[in-house]
Amino acid sequence: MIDPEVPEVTALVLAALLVLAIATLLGHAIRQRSHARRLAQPLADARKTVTQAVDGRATVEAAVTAARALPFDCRITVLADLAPTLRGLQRERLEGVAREAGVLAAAAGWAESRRWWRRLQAARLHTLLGGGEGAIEVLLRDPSWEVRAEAAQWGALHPTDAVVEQLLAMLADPRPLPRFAAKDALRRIGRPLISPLIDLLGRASGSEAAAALEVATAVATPAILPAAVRLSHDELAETRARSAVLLGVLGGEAAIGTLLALLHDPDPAPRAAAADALGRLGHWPAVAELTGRLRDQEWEVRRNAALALRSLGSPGLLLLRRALADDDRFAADVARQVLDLPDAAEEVVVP
Amino acid sequence: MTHGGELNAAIAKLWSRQRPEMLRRVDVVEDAVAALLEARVEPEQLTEAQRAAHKIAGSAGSFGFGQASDRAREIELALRTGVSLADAPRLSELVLGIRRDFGPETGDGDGDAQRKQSSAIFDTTAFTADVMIVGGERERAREIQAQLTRRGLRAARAKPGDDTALRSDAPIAVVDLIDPLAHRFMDAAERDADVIVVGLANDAGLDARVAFARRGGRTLLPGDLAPREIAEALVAIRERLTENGARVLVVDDDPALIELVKGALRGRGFDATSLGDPVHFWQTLEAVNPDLLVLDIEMPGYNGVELCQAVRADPRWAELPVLFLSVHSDPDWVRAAFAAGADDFLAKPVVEDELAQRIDNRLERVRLLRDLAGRDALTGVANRRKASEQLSRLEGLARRYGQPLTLAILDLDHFKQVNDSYGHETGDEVLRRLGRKLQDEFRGEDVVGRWGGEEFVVGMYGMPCEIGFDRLEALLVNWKHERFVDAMGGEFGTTFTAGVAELPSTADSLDELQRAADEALYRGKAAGRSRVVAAGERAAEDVETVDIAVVDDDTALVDLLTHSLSTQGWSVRVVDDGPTAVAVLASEPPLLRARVVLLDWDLPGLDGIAVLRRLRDRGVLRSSRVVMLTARGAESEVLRALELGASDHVTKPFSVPVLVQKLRQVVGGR
Repeated sequence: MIDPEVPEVTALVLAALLVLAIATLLGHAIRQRSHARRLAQPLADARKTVTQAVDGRATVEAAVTAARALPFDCRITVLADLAPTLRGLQRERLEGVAREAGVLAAAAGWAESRRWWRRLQAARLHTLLGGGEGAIEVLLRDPSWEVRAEAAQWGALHPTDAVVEQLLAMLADPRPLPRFAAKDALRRIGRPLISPLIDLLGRASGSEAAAALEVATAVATPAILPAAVRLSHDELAETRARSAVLLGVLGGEAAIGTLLALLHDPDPAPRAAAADALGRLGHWPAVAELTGRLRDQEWEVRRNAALALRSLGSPGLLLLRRALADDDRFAADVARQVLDLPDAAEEVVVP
Repeated sequence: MTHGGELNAAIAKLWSRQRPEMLRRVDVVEDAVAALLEARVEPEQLTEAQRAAHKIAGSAGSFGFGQASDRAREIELALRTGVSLADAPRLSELVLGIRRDFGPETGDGDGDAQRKQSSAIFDTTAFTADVMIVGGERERAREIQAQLTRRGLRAARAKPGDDTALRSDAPIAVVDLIDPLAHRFMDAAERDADVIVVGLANDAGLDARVAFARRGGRTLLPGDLAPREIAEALVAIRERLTENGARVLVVDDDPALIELVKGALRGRGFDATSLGDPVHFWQTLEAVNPDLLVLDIEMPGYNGVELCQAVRADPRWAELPVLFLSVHSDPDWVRAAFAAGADDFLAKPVVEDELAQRIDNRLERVRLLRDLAGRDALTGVANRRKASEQLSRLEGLARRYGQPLTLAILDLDHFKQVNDSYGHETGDEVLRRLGRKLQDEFRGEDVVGRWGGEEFVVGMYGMPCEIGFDRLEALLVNWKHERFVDAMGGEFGTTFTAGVAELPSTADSLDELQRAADEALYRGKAAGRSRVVAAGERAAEDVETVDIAVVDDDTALVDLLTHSLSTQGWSVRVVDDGPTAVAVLASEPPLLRARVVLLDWDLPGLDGIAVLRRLRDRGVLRSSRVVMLTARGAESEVLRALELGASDHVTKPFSVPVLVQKLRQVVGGR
């Protein structure tokens, strides 16, 4: 026999739970709103005081006092909001406030946390607010790739020898994001990078060398030339192609000679890169060699050679025009395509 | 089309023909530059490229590609002084620039098609005839052709729709309108105002004539006219084309009045034609092509007012002065005459002087126009164009009637010195006086004209060479006594040299006659001037005499020059290398004698300067002037040529009209 009371009890229980949930949510919202209303004024005061202190119109102590009046997460919010827009003395002042307000100390502590996201937060805070020497360097070797990538960003702002070395080591990182972050950081480092980079290029090979060459292309100092020439013989085609790009930026007789040799590389990528580099260098005596590449088996090489010829002015255009009658229909085709480009079409009368 | 326009069109045609060759030369230069860029260039290749660049530099400018010429000259200079890889970019730029100057290329097939088309156009110029017989029955057309040939006219036959007929340059076309395809030719003729179209039609009434005239026809002859009569009419039309005096057509049924008018006009040097029956009015009008029309009002068939209306209805006769003579002097007739388009009205009986004066007034404008077009302003004799036309007419007469035609070419001796020593005004006075003297001495059927510069021509119809020679000698004796006063009051005299030749004994054509007379003139000059020389002796010798010898190996340039110089009426002979030039010009005796030698500097075998030296050593420069054609602008080289005896130098590329003008001066300043 069915108890007719049971469904009603169930319904009542469910209704009670629903009411409780709604009440909880409303209570939380009211509490949050009350909390926000209560914090609004201190947050505004703290922002104002910190801003004035950064600007030199209030003391660091006043800013610290105002910051300390806030809960810790609000303290971080106020300081982190300002950080990206500041440089130089203002940034140093902000770093002082952060230090005195205990934010940096807390971040340094988080750097040693067992939880990866805490370490990540530590790296971010130090990148934003400064400091972190000793604590963040360690994170460049962190087991978490997210933390390593964030630490690399910090490293760009603190390019000590050890940091640079570690960043260069990160060029061989197995994960792409840390590698990318390391390259980006190294590019931003500039002069302090040169010496260790040359050392690395002198000994590296393969993909590590390829990544280092990519960084070196951004630096482009003549001191890198010997290493670039050496790496033009690397076993990895990508490395040889990267060396061609770098040589195209460096220029000079040695670079030209190497590039002319690379036009005959067994792999298409170095040949294409060498053709492009010779065009960028404006080395018109290479027109005959480049014309030969119009018959290359690879489209990219033919295209780069044709574009290089176009960029080399009259000698290149003259030979391109002659290539229109080449027996190799691929050579004739690429010549036609490039000569049909608007700027070349004005220069050359094609049949 | 103006003369300049014709020349430009001719140059454009020549360019379309020469363009492939010019582009081939650019290819030669480009090959060398590419070889230089690819470090595989041979010295021979550079030499060949230099030669090609030289030719482009020399001729491109003359076709209107001045910038291409400049570029080619820069290439030539670079190649001559030696090039290295460092020069390759500039050379490449120049080659690409020349290609841009010459414009987009067409494929080989298109080029061939273009050349073929050009050739077809040029072929028509080779087709020359005086009369084109279009359509009609074959035997009849052949008979008309034979009749015309007997009368000294070149005649050709064609079908009405045939290209030959449409492209013919014959000034007269006789069209059988009975032919069903005649309208096709008439359509073409309607667009070509230069062709005089004579129609043959069964219906030759006034309506048919007006309709025919409106389609561009000039004369409508009855279709049943005998071939001999048709030929006579065509000869008359042909002669009208080349006649000198103003023509008056008098239409009146009163023979006495006709005689009166004729007498009045003859006394003033006009040619009067009379017509008694107005039924043949239109036919006569077309044949006579008068400069003034005198009409009687009352005539049998058509009255004068109706004829005048018909004349005015035809646009070609809208400007023809029409003068009425009539016994009807009442206002209605006078008003009707003027309403029909009369220019003047004179009542009979006519007072001879008044009539003559009125006609004279009406013809004054015609006379002025004729004088302007055909008279040399300085000397008063016919200009070269007019004299050539008259000589051509005399040639026709001489052939038709088996009469001799003697031609004399006179040239004032040392006239340049007269100008230099006594001034151009005095020089002009000498020319004026000689012109008057010639007009006094030679009248009637003789032609007296100024040939150019200080050169005159006299054509003596029906006169053997011996008599012409004697007349010239008598004139020379007389001329030697002529005294001229210079600006300082000093007196001086001049002489002339003349060459005399006769058609047909010493020449077969007018061109040959001129050449023979010219050559005799040269002999007279060479023999010491101030004499008259007959061409008879020279006829036995195998010496070709031309106005201009072009010594150049650049075929494009030679083609252009030959065309341009020939259109000026000069005979031209081309020699394309140095050794041949020496062989024909400086041999003893010479195989070729030229008044002017256009001598290129860079010639295969023997360069121009070496040829010039040989010409000087053999005394050729005493009778021939040498104009150096050179792409070299170096002062020292020009001076070297002038020191060796060159009269002038022209730097390539040159403007053809300017060169022609220079040649006129050189020929004239002999």
